[in-house]
Amino acid sequence: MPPRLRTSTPDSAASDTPRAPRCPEVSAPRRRYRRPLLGALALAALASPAISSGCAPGFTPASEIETLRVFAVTPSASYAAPGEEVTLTLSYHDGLIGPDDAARPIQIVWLGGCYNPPGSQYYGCYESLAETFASLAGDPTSSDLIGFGPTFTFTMPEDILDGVAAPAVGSRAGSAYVFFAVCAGQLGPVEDPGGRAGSFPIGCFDSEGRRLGADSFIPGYTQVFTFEDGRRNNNPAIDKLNLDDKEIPEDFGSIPSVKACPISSEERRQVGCSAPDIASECETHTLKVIVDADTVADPEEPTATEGSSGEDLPVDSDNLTEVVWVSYYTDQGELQGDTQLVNDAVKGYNPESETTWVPPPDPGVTTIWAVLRDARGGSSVIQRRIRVE
Amino acid sequence: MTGVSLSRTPSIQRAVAPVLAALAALALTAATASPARAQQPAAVPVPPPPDATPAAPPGQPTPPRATNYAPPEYPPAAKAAGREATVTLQLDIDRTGKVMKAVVIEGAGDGFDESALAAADKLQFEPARRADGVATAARILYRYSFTLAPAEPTAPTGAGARTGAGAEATKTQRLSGVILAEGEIPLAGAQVTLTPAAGTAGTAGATGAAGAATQDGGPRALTTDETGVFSFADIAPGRYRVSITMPGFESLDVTEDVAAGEQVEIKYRLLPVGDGLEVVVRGERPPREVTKRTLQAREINRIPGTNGDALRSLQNLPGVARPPAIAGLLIVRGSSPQDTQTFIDGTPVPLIYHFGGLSSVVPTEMLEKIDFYPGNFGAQFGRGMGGIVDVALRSPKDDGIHGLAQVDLIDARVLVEGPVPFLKGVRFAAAGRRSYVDSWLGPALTAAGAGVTQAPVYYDYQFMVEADVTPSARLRLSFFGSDDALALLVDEPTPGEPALTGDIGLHTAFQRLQLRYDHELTDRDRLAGVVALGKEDLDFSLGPFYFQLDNLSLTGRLEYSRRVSTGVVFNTGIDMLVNAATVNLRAPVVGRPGEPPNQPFSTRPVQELSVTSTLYRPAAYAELELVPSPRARLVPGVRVDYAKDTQQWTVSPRFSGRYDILHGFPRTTVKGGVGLYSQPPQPQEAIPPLGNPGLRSNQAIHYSVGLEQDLTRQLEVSAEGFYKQLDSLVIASVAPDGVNTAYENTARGQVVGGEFLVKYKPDDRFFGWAAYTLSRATRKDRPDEPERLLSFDQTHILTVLGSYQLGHGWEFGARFRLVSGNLIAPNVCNVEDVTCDPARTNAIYHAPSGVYTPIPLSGPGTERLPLFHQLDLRIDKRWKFKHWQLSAYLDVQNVYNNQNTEGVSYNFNYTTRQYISGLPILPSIGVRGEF
Repeated sequence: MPPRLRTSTPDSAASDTPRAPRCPEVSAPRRRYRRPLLGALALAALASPAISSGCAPGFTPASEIETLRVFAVTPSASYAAPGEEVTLTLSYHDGLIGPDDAARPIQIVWLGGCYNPPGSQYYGCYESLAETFASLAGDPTSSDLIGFGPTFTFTMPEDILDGVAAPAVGSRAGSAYVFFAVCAGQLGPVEDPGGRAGSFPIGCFDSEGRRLGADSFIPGYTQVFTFEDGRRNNNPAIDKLNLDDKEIPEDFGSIPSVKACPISSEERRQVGCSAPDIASECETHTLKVIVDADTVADPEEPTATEGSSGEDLPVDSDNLTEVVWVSYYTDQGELQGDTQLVNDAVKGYNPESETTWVPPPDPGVTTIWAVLRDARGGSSVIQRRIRVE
Repeated sequence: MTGVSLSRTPSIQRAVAPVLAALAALALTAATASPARAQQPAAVPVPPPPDATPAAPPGQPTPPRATNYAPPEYPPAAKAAGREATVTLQLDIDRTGKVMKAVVIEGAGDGFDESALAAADKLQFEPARRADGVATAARILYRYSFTLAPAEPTAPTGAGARTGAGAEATKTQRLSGVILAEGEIPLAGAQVTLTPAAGTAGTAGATGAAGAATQDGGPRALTTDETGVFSFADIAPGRYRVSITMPGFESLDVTEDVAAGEQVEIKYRLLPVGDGLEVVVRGERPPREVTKRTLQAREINRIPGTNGDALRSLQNLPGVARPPAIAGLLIVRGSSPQDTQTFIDGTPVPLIYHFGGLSSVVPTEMLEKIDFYPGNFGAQFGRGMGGIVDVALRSPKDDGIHGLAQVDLIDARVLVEGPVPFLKGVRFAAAGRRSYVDSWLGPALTAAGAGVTQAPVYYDYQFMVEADVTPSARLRLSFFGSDDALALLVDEPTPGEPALTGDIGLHTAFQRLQLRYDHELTDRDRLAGVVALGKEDLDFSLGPFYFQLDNLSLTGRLEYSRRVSTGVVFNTGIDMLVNAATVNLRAPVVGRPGEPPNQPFSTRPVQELSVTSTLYRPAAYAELELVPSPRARLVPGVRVDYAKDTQQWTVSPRFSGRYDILHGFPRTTVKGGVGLYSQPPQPQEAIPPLGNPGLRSNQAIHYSVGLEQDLTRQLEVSAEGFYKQLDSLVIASVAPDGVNTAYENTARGQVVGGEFLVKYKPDDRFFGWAAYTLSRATRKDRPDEPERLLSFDQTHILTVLGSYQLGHGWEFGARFRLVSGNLIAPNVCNVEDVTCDPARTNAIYHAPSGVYTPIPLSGPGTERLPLFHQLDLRIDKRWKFKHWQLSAYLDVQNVYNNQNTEGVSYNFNYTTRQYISGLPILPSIGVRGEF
């Protein structure tokens, strides 16, 4: 939802200002207009984007789960050692239902086996990816490069660092790309137009062979690194999820209840200059992940190279921690400020990482997800439910 | 202000003809369009009295001024015959003020011509001076009016009027006349005030288009009628002060004596008003290059949408593309912005615009001229293959203390200048500007919820001391600089870059301490040099990432010119650049150009480094200016550059020429040029560890051919075709090791196009032009890759603008632009395209960040955004007072609030897209006072 601007009008005293004086010595009232005038101009400048865009409603936020969505792929180790076994766990939700009002069957396929592609670019894996996918037609269970279901385990090759050139700065690193495809149908090869990054060679089709779009098909990839200096990365941990400063229990029988917001879905969609102010007309709630401030973020590995003086630099790179942020999702209602910083690289833990949730207009059970991520591939997911009355 | 362009350039001394032509026009204005009290009551020839010619504003080029007057002999035969006449001479005056040659331009015969020539030989002048105050040779027109003595005041009839034509004899006195503009155009509506001097009884009646008076001895005023005529009747004998004001023209104050019974009839000529300074924007060349276009100060200050900023006015010239919204870039003939170099007084500077292109780093009031070369520039410039912008600071005024203050919604500026007390021939100028957008935008943004800790602030400053070391040598010490700063607090991660949070700080600044020396060694030899110490800072930080650049530079240029013989001038010089830079960097690894993103930038591997490098790039050049006939000019030249960082020598031969097929009016000129240009790699490309050795300079060959045609005295058209062949362009690729980035000279490209200009030169009321550029800029990054359009390619660029003086100090202007949309690399197909497949996989989910990575639909620059069109309006009002003047303007951009498309935004998973609009309707106001 685009930000709204609050505007104010001059107070009545200003509007009662007498007509412009004739003499310069009595022009003080005129000066009273200057501040409102400048303020109005400032607001006009600020409101320019809104004016120019015609108060367009914008896009549906990523935090509103209405279709098939992937929340995270949580690795057992995002920085792995050579020969280490790594398990990837995919968290997803399908917001659509099938023709018979039943949950749609979701097919999840993992395709591994791409290591250190040219330029360390994911699309450098497309050739091996197509070959691996083609092997599905044979006996896929015989290949450890292919997996099905929400988890996939692979082993980081022992020789992952062999032949890897040292970068201009930093430690040598190798990486393994693992692709996945989440499909509410059947997977099949496709050939899309594309630029320098080519195109993803796998598509999703319904039972009648029609190609399905992004609401039913999510291709993705994750990357697991191996560094020569042996660095590791821990997944940031979530202790609990609070609703209005109270923990939301996992037990369905104990979930909290809130009042519905009477503004209809259609009115909420009419976001624009004259749209209703949901926050003022409904009871809103805060959602916040609770983490251990001392352990949520790992210290950053030193990145300085020889020659870095460290003097007069804006950042002391020896005392940085990794960036950690949380993304909130809901399948009903809406979230305001759905992505929040949990740990700043320089300033450390941020205690104000809550978001505001506006309940939906209709009673029911709402699902809330919170995904905690760090900038090095670590993540964790929590899911809770709230009853709307 | 004369409305005549005159600029000081190094080459102008070597090309006297254009100077003479310009000064001739200037002097013609001074001699004929000046308030020439053309007649005297005695039967003597009357030149324009020197004291009646308004002095050109200090700091302006000035025409010669007569310091003596030798009355010519009235031919006896003509006198006996009662014949009167006017003789116009053309005088060539040297740098000392001596009349070298006098030629009759408009003769009268009967001995008048000979008498005028004889008198002219005895004249002495204060020589003409360029804007920088240096004396120079000039050619002027000088007019002698031979009139017979008036009739006796008491005579009932006869030649009592000063014109000699005032035949009417009355017993009362009258002062009447006509007010004319250049070209003998009557000025209706001019206000004429007649004030009796002490001891004069006063006026009784006045007639004109308006006005009346009573005989009370006080001042009387009237306005001229539609024929420019005014008349004060029944005035008392005595001395009067006549003050004439007319919007758009310099005011005039003269003293007139009216004898008893005299009927005085006078013609006054007013000069078009200037703006207190003269700035010349040269379209394509001073004399060494192919063509020259000039924008006068009035044009620069009145172009809608520029807020009177001279450097922003460049963007309205042919060959200059429209930059993206709020981007202060100069895109010349399809070249990337970094291919165009910017100089201030011959010293390179890193930027010419403050944040977002709001204004330029040098205020217009400090400018003498802007030389702008979109291509085929001369051998004196190098290390660039796009265009050249050379900004010259003007000399301080030396006729007293002057000042200026201006405020608008964005910034405020002051300037003070004048002679240095007790130091003859030494003058100074100090100017400064600071934006105060932070004072209102900061609180407003904070109130709106934006995490602003410091709104944008910029300032710039210029200090200058200049001395005439000798009558022919000038020394100038300048210190100037610019500073921009901005700070924001991003306390919520952006969905697309979740790891980018924290304080954002941006600071960029530069300073230059500069010493210039210009010396006219002899009439044939000239030496000019400039050396500058510079410092640059560029600091950017965002949370844990930062980029710091500290750069010290030493630049210099020394040029010697000699007029070898008639029509042959030889120029040679050296040009040096030394840079010592330190870069501290902590940031995610930057993607290679054209490389689709692999993941959010903020989650890429971080690199931290500190690099110190020194660049040493000397150069030498030589050039001949050949004028084999008055119709032709040929300029061959060559430049040799060396770059220590690449250890490469480059030799760049260049040639340009022009020929007048039809000389004089209406002039028809053909012109053309070809030249080789080289541009060393950027430091980050050539210096390890960011770059790699073994690179060569980028190269370009410029070709151009064009035609200029006068249609009327005011209207001219020109057309020029150009072709730029780009070779050995540096491109980043994946290194053979598969990990690092390697730069190599594999890219090629070309830019082809045409520029067309129809220009109405400024007159008393109007100026305007229509400029159209048609071009296509393509590039091939590697031999095996397809050709693609360059990022800044704009096929059609049309600019139409004009400004009209409404009278009474009001002026109204409009600018309309119609430009092809910018290019993008689309990630989502346009649903209006029949080939669009809505089920295409447009993005792939990057699980470590939870962000979708777009999969470009095609290569870079394959979709053009919708056509850009915008109308800007401007209205000015000027009030003139005795010792100062006040002006105000309202400048409204995008009057009809067109939602021009500046980009495309996508939803989180790239299934849909929408256009991003540019600036909406945007008014701006400003007030300015100067003395």
